[in-house]
Amino acid sequence: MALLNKHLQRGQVETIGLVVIVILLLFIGIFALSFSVKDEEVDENILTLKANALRSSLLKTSICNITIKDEIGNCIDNSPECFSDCPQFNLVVEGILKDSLENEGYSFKSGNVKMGNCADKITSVSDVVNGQKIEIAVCRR
Amino acid sequence: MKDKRGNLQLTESVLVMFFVLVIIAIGLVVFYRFQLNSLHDYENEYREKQIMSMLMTLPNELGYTFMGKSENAIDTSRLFSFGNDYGFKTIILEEVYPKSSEAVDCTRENYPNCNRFIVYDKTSQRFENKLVESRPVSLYYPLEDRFKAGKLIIEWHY
Repeated sequence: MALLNKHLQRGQVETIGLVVIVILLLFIGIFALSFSVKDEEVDENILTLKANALRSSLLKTSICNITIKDEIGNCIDNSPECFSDCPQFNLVVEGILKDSLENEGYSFKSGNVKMGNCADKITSVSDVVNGQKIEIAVCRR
Repeated sequence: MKDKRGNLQLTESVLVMFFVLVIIAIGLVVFYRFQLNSLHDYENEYREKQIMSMLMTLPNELGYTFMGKSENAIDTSRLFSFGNDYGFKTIILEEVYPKSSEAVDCTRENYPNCNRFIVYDKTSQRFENKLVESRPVSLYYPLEDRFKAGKLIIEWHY
């Protein structure tokens, strides 16, 4: 009888030990999960805001008596108004894009003109000038 | 013989209790650290959300409207009468194009021949860290009737 009781007690202790180990593993799992599933929503929203603000600010900027948007249209027809040639104008656009962002990369596409490069990007609302789509994007961090 | 066995069982129980207590203590420390970390994460997330909300709303507060229609640009002539309290922050508007070699802070006297507006500046020596976020903006100069490319920079001191 005493031997049976001892066996039963040992069995109970082992069961409790097992339960403790399972609970510990569960806690570790929950911690690991909460670290791995991080909220990236804020980052995404900031980049979308920046992409749209960059497009709006760039296209609205005045150069001589017209806007950059107008000059892009002129360059599509290969007749720039404020610059002697379109590559010179493209350099100005590239400078604005670079200086407007702090730590992010950018990508600009209008017809054959391509500036910057992103592996993964957030694109702004696109604009159409002279039937050609202007696409401005900010690279993901 | 029975005494010895009893002693052995007692020692075993004490050891088990000791290890259980050690495990509980380690668990408590880990839990405390985790809670502290998540609190810091919440704090940072809150700051990021607040800064993002400011980046979104500030250009509208200082916005240039023409015939009641928003022009998605900041009216630079309104920047000198900016009187809101935003806590310990620095709000800067910087001209990006036309590009100048050196930054000239704007005052009522030198406007519009300048390229940087320190719209709001409240700092304290208590704070050593700052969270900086920026966004591109369009700056409207009513005296010249021109839009210039700019950057809105918000620094949160903490």
